[in-house]
Amino acid sequence: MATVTSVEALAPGDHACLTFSDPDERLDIVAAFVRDGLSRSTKVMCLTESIPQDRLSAELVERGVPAAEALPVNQLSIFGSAESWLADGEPNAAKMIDLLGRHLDDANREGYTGLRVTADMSWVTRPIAAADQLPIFEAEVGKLLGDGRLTAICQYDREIFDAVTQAFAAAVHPHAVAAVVYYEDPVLRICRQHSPPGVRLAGEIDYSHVEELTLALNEALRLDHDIQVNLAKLRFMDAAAAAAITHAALSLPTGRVMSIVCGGVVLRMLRLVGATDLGAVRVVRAHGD
Amino acid sequence: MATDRQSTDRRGPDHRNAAAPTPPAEVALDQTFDAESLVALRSAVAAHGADLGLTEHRVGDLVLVAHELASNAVRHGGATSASPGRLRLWRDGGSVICEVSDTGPGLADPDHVGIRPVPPAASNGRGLWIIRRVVDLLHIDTGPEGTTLTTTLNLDGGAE
Repeated sequence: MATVTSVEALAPGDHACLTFSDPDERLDIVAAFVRDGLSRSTKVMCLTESIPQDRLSAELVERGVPAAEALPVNQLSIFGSAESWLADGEPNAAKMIDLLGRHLDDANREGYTGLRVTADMSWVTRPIAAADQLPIFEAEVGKLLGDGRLTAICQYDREIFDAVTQAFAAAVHPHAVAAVVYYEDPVLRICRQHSPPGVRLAGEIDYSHVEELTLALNEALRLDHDIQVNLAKLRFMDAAAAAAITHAALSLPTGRVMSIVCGGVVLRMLRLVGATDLGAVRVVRAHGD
Repeated sequence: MATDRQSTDRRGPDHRNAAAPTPPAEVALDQTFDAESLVALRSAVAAHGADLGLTEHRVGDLVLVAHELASNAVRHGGATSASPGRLRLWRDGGSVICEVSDTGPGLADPDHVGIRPVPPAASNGRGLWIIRRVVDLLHIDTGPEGTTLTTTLNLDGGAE
């Protein structure tokens, strides 16, 4: 059964599943996985299905991953299903394993310390896909991981995989990666953001959850030099919650930065409480604002 | 009530002693609230604010103001499920009026509460300062029997 691991803690030879329902959480974890791989001199391979290749590279760049530098020198490669799983018209786990083996050899020959692979597994649900290939693939990947040169994250979207497949995924992967969730209810979600490091909020926040927000901000400030407070998906924030962010920004010594991604009424509230005037704060306008 | 204190102004004393807008027989929204129902209250205010003709930006302001008023009533005005606060919302000519009342002990100094900026390091007390900056008119009616705050947002306002 999988043990829950933070994406930063994955070590060479680890095989993890990422079961997600929030697309932002998925991209955040994938970005952190790619970022850490590039900085540790491994080759990185992204197999994408639900996100087009060019969008995935843009999403990585936006999250602080040096994809624009790593793609031309082939340290990072991004493949769609047509070039990987479905290269011969129908998915074939054995061919996929061959492809992985070749990239692993390439990485070795080119002097990289190993290969990191992250794979969107939603190809399995395509009409022509053979679901029987999934167990074969996961088992064979397990063997490749044996010598500690390969590290893999398989992504399973809760929306499209049935419970049986999700249970299978949890059983065959020794690790599960997930975002640290500080607080979650139907109205508000506060979780750790891995790339760029910080805190992400979604929904609505008011004075009743200032304590959880403060806890999350303090942990982010303890773990990282500069942090991002991502409020792009926050629909409402009251003065008390804005004050908690203000206090966290005030606690930063000179030279450390809190960037806040926000727009609309949330930005308006931050301006009203004076958070946007603080020396440590940089406002990043959210998309669609 | 003779002991009641009244204060009407935005940032200065120009509107002192003007009467608070009074609700018509039928209002767009009349809802009671306590700490548990602030989320639903915000959602109702947003829906009705748009119906009353406010722009999207101004609806955001209205929700912000309604929440700060209502959360003040919950945190300081003693609004509970047994003795809930009350919010009424209506259109008056070119304005939308939002009135929030509680039966708490009243404000100590309605003439001066929230007229100065609150320093970033302060732990609380921002609500009324923010409300005064967002609304076009604020009327405070407070006494030992409770507090009613009435805010006016002009349909063509919200330049700030």
